[in-house]
Amino acid sequence: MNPLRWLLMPQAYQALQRRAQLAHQYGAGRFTIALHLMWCVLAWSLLRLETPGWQRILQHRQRYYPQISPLRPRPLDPLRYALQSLWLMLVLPLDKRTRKSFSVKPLFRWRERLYQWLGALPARLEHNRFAQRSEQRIQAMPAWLRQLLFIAAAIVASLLALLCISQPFGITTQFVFVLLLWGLAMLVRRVPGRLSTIMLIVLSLTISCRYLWWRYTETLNWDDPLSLTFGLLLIGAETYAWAVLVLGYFQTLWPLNRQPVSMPPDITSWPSVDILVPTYNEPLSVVKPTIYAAMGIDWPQDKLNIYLLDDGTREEFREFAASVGVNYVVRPTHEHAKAGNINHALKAVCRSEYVAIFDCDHVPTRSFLQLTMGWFLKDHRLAMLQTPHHFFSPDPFERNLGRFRQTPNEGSLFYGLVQDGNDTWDAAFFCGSCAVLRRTALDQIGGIAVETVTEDAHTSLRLHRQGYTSAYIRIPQAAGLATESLSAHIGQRIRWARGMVQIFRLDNPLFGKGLKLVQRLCYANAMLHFLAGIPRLIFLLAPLAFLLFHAYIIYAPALAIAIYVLPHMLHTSLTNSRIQGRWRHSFWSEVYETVLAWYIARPTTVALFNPHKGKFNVTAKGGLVAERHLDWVITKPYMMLVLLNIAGIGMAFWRMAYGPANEMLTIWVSLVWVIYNMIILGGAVAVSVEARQIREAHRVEIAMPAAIAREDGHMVPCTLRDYSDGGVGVELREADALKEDETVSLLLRRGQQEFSFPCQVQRVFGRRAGIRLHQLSTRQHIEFIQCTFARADTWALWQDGFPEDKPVQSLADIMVLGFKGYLRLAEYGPAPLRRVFRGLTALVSWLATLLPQRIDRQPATIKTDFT
Amino acid sequence: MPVIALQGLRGGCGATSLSAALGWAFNALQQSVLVIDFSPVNQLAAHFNLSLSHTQGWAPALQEQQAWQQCAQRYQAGLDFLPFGALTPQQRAHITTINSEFAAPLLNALPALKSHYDWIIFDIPADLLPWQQSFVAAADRLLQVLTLDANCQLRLHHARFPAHTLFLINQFNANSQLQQDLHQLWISSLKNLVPQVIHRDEALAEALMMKQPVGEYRPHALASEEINTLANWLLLHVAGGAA
Repeated sequence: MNPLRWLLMPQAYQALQRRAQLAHQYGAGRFTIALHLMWCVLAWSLLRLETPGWQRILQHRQRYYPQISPLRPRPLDPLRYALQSLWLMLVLPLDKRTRKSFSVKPLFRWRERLYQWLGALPARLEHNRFAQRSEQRIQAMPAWLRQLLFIAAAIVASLLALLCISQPFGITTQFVFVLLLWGLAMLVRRVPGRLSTIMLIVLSLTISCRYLWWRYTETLNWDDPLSLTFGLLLIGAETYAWAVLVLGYFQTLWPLNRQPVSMPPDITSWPSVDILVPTYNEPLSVVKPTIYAAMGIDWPQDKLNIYLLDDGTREEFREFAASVGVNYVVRPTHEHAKAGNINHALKAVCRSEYVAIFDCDHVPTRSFLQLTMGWFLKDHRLAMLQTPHHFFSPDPFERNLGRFRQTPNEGSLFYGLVQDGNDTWDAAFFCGSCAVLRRTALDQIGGIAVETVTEDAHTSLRLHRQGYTSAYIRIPQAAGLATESLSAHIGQRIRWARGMVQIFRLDNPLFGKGLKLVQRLCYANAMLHFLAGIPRLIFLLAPLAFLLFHAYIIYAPALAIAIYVLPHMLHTSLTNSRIQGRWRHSFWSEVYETVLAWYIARPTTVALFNPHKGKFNVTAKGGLVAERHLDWVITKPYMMLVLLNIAGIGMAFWRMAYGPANEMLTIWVSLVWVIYNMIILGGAVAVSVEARQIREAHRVEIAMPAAIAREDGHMVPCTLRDYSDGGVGVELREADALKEDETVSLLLRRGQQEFSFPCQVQRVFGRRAGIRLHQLSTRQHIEFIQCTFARADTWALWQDGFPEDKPVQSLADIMVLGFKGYLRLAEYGPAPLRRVFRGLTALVSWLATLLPQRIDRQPATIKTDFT
Repeated sequence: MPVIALQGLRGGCGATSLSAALGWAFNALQQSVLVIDFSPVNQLAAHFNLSLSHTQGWAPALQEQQAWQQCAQRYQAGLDFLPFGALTPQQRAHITTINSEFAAPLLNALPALKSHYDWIIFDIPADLLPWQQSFVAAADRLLQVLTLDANCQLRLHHARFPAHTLFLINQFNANSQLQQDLHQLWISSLKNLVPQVIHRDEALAEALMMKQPVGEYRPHALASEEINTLANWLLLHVAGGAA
């Protein structure tokens, strides 16, 4: 540092010395400090950092560059600064308070104005009554002219589509084409509303159909049998994916969003309802809340009958039913599992006009019947109304990945969007629980179907064939327990997959009478969804065909592949994010499908050829994961796939070194594909590390005001933070306001009424306290369930609480997850493997620090000025 | 600017405690408040830590033709109160029959006070003195403080309430079956019932012993939070003098 003393003024030299000392204190190496000082000197001499503009940025340096520590410099900090600055210039919204001295300010303004104009477009069109006026004009035309117009438009559209899809382009032309469409998509996605979604779908379909056409006509190598086999397999998988995409767009394009219909004001005209709760081997603690909640449903008590159907013939269930006053039904034989159980009860004891079925762990809210029965009175052909299956405990994906309530879970897509879309086409199907059926319709088809293992979908298929309609209301009115472990989850999915394929073989919706075309397509799509096992495996192994076997699975130059595949994937991702973003975040479908792919491949193929083979296995509910462990049995197939892909990566590097030079680009493309597969597989591995579960009673998180009355008369206000059927967790206003083992009363409100429950304080730590319910009477049990599980709004609010989908962020999340999955795998593996993995992961983490990071908005300051 | 009069339906409902607590709550919401005691018992001052030997108040001052404004006390910035004052035995004997003209200066000063303070709270005794009618009429709202018992239920039937009355339930005990049933009855049959209920909280009882408003004594007690909510509700529904 001595030469600097000659070059710099004393103040500057001293500042540098201080900076060096600080950096040394925080542990930076000598070389790093020297580099850092050099960059500082360069920055201060060349950039005019003393001007007010720069000073303002430096003042907020912590906010703008959160990942770069001002105290401890690192060698590549200038690169980080550069990347983050570039990122900020692209992404930062125009903040009124920060005035940039760059000349790009008018560019930002122009961008903002464009976005605002696009965002306001639908409102402006609505204001001009554009839609109404054009509709009026079209209606004013004579009928023949209208028809002619539609036919002409259809012909022009199909010709244009045919041209776009089948016209072969050169590489540059294709590049320009996709660039134009991408630009259009980027503009259109800023416009809210359904019309822009349809436009995005049209663009996506154009690109995808074009891609598939290109694959069929130009990328099969008929000369080499090995390449041909692999190529045909891959094309088959891609066609399947394309078919699912098209059907999916069609299915979810126009969700009906059916609203509940009010019941008539005259209560004596309300129909009678039987509530059936079938159970087999679940513990009583799981069934009790359901029965308590059913007893508290808002419906005239003389018109409500509750039946507990016990297929296990257990004495404690009989006693419980007798003590609370519900009907208890057993049957002598036990064939056909749940369907047989329900059919027996229907024949033996149920006499009401309607039947509501709840799984034993699905707790209904008080408003369930009042929200659902209105439609039955309005539509006399309605045979079945379904409500969502909501889960208040995390499913294996959420629990093992730690994503509970941060990303929508696997079921949200189906219950939030797909069923709603099905409802538009009158194809919503029965899901086995949380639904109401009309008794006469059910009797007409002979009760619940027993021929397949998915008896619910089969029942609603039969109802549709008889000409009845079905309905779906998207508001969750019951909540239950998700599957406990990954193996139970996979077991349940295998059963559904096998059942759906059985229905496909035995009672094919595409053939047979009674269904409209749109209903056939919707049912077919539901069944097609479960055949995804083999195509997913093909996708996971496809790039290895070239890397390991040198077979040209896509017979085209690498650049062409990139130019055709990338737009296809990007548009699909963009459009799906637009349609599904609220219910499934981007790229999570890949993870879910990958986890299930291996396991549903075989049962579905077997069921496809022989529908009667295979046994029925019940989903276990209420179990417990005792220790954190890696489910090796479940992970075996993924391990094989991971090892194969690693072998593929190794071969890729070998080929880069020793292979022909003109294949370099192909190797890179395959390598990128393999890495993408590895990320997804990493996510799948991460899921199989089962997180430990401590309690058996599941706690539901909530934020609700409550109060605690102490014995000495002091009332402590608190916030209810979670509840289970045995106790609650509260957050107090100040630490240690309660003592352990104190007897208190918990006060909960429901509507205008307040209820008091005798409790005991279990533990207190700081502001949190755990409180256990203590010897409640039956009446109090019912009231407690009413105040917590059976509240009409808890689950409905839950659905709206998810952050919106950000595709890039989602991909980054999955990358991190995949990464952690491999880390966990390494933890459980042998020692040298662990070291290698640790090294690799350390390398990737270091690379990640170079990436730009999001910055927080400036917090608003509230001024309280008391005059 | 709004004027709120609090009166218990019967003695001991807690109107005075609530007046003091509400004054504190409004002050915490950055509002300036004046609380005026209209009860000859003169207990409002004790809620604000006034020495028990301090006997000045606006009523004796007016009777002796002195400046009643000097009797006002400041608890803290934005929270002022006007004690009734200790009456001599003769004054006490005549206070029920006295000519209402004697309180005219205070009544006439109301507009000036309204422009000076964001809120004015009258603490009216359960047994209304004749000359206090005009003050009740001058208030924007009359908050009748009730407890959930048969006594108040009987009085509800027989009393006649002015149009600007709101009913506020105090000392609610969730463990009492009688109180729960009466509460449900009043929710469905009593008009103008304030949706916020104040629970029976030991903190309120202890606050007067400590000669502090409950919001200062125990800010985290349930009663304090409920009174804060009440203050916010009044801010939304009554502020500006809107009907």
